[in-house]
Amino acid sequence: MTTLLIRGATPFWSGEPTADTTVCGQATDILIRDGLIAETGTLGDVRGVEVLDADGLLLLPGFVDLHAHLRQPGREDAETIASGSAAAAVGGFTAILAMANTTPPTDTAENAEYVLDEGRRVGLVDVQPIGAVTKGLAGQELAELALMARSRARVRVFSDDGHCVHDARVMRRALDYLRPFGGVISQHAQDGDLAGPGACAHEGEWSGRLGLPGWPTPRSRRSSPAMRSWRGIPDPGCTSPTSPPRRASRSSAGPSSGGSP
Amino acid sequence: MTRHLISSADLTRDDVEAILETAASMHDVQRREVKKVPTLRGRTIINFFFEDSTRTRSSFEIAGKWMSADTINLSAKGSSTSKGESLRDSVATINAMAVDALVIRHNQSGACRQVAGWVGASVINAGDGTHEHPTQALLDAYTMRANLGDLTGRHVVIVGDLAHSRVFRSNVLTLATLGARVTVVAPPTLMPAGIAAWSAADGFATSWDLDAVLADDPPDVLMMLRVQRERMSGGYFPTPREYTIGYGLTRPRLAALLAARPEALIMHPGPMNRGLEISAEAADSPNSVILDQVSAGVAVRMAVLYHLLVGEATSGGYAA
Repeated sequence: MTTLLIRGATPFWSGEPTADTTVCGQATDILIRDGLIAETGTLGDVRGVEVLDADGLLLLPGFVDLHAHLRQPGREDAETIASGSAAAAVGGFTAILAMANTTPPTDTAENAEYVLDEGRRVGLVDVQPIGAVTKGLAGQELAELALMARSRARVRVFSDDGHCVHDARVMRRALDYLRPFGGVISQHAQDGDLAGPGACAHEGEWSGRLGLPGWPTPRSRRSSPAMRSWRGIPDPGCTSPTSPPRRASRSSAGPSSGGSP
Repeated sequence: MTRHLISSADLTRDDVEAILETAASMHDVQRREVKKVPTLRGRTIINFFFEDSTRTRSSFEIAGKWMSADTINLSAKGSSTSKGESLRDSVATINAMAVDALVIRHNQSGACRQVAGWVGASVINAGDGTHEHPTQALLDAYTMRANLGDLTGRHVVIVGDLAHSRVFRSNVLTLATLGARVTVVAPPTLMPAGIAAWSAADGFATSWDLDAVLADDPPDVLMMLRVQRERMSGGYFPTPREYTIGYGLTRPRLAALLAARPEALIMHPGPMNRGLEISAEAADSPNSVILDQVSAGVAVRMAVLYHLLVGEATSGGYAA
């Protein structure tokens, strides 16, 4: 490991948090030796080190991406552990968690170790595999959660990501099962049955105008019947997922004249 | 307007007027014994249809041929698309052959806009998914004007599967450009998402109640859209019978319409589901201009090809 001197960087935050702490500390020099911060403050000449002039620049802790898709193995045409690691490093991320929806999925200890080892071989950032909750991301049977946790990859985060765990009973078993090793489940909380197979846009005025099949989203708080009742806003009488049509301006036709469900 | 025709929103009023005026003279060509003008001699037009079509494809083909262009039809079936070639590679291959115009129908909304960014040829949208079908709106406007004259203030009612209709999306734009008043009617499940904000912004009316619209503001034009039977399995409405009773142009509704507005035009972009959205009496009534729409389709597409490939750079700026 080399020694690096960062000159005049402004740490994003330093000191104990208080209600009126300013987000930035004082500019400082930072000497990094063997990957650890060795000295801070105003440092004089230090010989034989690489110097990075950070005057006017902000110093941030490394970011952690809890939801990265590295696509390897199986879709190396789209992304690889190496290309994803490089992109992460450029963006200031020092650790990335790789989602399990690869081909094959990360649903065994061996597959998790493959991702870990490949990440270490690339060596740019920490690549930590996320394990599948269910075998083959199929949502039916639990994957080998404990073996993944005990593997060299020490998997602690499990997710079926976009496949979602639809079966509430399977989800409950999984949550219960991982208690001994302190894992967490990251659920992609979405019900695919609500959208058509081609859904590719937020459902709303623009998906309507462009004729794109939309993902339904919780309606704006003003128009959701539930929210409306909480806020005491009168319901115009439409409970369908589409917005109530505007009252026809040139006719009496419309929601109030027999069109409402 | 650019050298492409992707959306009806691309056309100014001057553009539409110019195209419809040209279409009228093209319509005269259509009535001649020898239906051929040399206007597009030496030009190559490819009709690339990734989705089934009878009237649109044949009318683009006839339009090109009557203007002496070399017109070639390609369909997804039997082309490299069925061998897994991407849309981009398919059109790049066609583009490499130096064609002048690409007429494209595709089952994905936005496909034509994508293609226009990839090729040197003029791209004409012949229907993209559930987005737009601008030449249909032009031929509908042509048919309406041929019967009603100026459309300013005329009331056009469009009924049917608005959520999945590119005919509706293009018509509502072109009719606004020409100053018509538009009301669209559908059950809530067949209304597009966000229609309330959209209709408010663009100044058209919406209703769930066809009978109320016919009674309170009898239309000059009643346009019935095709309802695909597949929508039933998607749960958009329970049975064809219920749809017809609520939203079909049945015999009693036809009588009510004609009692209030004897000269009303009945339109349908086809293909019709007789007995579902339109009764045989309505489709075959003297007020029906459904075959006039088909006839206008050739003339309007000749006019569009003319303006995109030949037309002088007018103030509208739609020339090649």
